[in-house]
Amino acid sequence: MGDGFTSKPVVVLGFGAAAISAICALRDSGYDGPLTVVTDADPEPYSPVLTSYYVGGRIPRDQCFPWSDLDVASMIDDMRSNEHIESIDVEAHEVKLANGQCLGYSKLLIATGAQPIAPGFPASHSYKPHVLRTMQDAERLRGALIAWPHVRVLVSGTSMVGLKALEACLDREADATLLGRSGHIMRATAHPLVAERFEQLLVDRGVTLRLSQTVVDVEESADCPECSVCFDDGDVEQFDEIILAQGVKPNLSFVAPGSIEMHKGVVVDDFMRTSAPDVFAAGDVAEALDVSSGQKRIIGLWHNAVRQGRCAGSAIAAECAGRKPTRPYAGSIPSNVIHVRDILFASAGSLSEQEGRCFDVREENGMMCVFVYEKQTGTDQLVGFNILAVVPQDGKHDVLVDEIGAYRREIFNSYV
Amino acid sequence: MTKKTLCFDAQKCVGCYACAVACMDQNDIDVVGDGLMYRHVSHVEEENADEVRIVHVSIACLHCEAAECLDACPSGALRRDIASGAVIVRRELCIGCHACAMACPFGIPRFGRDGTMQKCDACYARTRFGYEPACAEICPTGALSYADVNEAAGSKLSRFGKTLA
Repeated sequence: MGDGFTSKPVVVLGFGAAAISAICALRDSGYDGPLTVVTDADPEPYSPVLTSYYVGGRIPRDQCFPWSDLDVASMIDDMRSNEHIESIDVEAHEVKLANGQCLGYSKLLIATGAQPIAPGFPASHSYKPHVLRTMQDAERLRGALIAWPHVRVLVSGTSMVGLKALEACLDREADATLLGRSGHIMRATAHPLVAERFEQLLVDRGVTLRLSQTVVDVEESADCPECSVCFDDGDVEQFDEIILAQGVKPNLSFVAPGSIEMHKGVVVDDFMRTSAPDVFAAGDVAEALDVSSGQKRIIGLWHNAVRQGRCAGSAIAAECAGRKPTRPYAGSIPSNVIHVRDILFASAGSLSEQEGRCFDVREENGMMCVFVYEKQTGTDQLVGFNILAVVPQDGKHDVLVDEIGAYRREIFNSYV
Repeated sequence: MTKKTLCFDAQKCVGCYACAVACMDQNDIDVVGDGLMYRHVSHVEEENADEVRIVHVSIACLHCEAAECLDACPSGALRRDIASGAVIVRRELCIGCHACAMACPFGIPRFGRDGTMQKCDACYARTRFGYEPACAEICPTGALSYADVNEAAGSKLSRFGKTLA
């Protein structure tokens, strides 16, 4: 162990993008003390983003493990995979595992990610709907979609995960129905006009839409595998499989109420430090700075998880060496980019109607764009955008699509 | 071993496109077909009090030290080449998700017919054998050069100092 390090290890809870980014940053920053990782998953880390591509047959299973050539294992002294975390004691600096073991820590990083939830979806006596997060979820869904041709699938949820699950169904030539509680898809990020066009493009590609609807009952037939799904408008339809993509919640059941400041996630400062001493958080569990609102909130994106993990790792390394951390997390803005087959949708910033804002709606070259400006003295400031495009056969986008990163940066810079 | 980097001096650029053509040649890019250019030349009007002049800018991937595209890529398709410092694309791993495009503030990532991302790799196949990147080698005015990182930074500081003086 190097000079200046305490004898207890740094413990990382979780083994996804935020955790691995933190581990790499810890070692890159010179921390050569003991490092323990606890995860309820297998020891080989996968990318949840890739699971829908695997389910749809776009990539082989091996490709779901993007860190396979990074040799993360060599950076870890004690790897505890397939272990459940019971609780953490922030006073005693201990993690208690479900198997009864206690792990002391010098610094703790909570990077346990999130899990799917399905609020209000009726439980069936015997049928377990699909979700799409882990490799096990992906294996099960993939098996169901390739079981026979034209599997009838109900996808409940119209945001990012729902649409990627829908794409996987289309890739497998399933008969897909998309169910949404709201009147439009991508409610949180798409302007209604853009959402409407997006919906039409989905219908053109064979998707059945059931918007502004909910499921009131699911019954599995006794003699065949299909489910009878009752909708709130009285319709009853048969489906072979149901996929729930209605949202996620952070995996924080092991954090005792009151022990760390929490809302939906764990509140962190600019160096990913929580309110508890020596406890850090990053990724889908962390409420970090959203510069567009000035509020702390979870923005569950891969990009954010990586940057937050790196920030936490270098801050932990600095504190372990007795220095003050110097690389703060710069914050983020809500942003999204999603493909559903040949449809591309990109969004960043705020699309909400507020006083002093003007909307520039454009339709050109088969694209639909909405740019939102806030009226300011001298010049109008871009605060949000939607771009919806159908990717042409030659792959060459309109220049507006190539510029999505520049627009996102312009919005981000206007707040910092 | 000294670390080298691609440098661009806008004051020397005449917008001749030799760099873009050399890039296409090096990378076998057929822009008449479905190839995508990795290097672009832009002409920007700069208006001062009593004159308007054209500034030419040759731009490709900047291989940023804190490359946002690297952080955003969920598939491991983007990696830093340790020897050259270049950000390279392993197209066989790219899923075409456009996360890199959303992250890059310079509009560099482009997507080809197969849906995968393509961009400049700083000619790391040349530089690892001691050759300059094709664009720097061909540049007739020295606007693009492949120079020692510290020398390049020193030269920039010196020019900045002269401007201040």
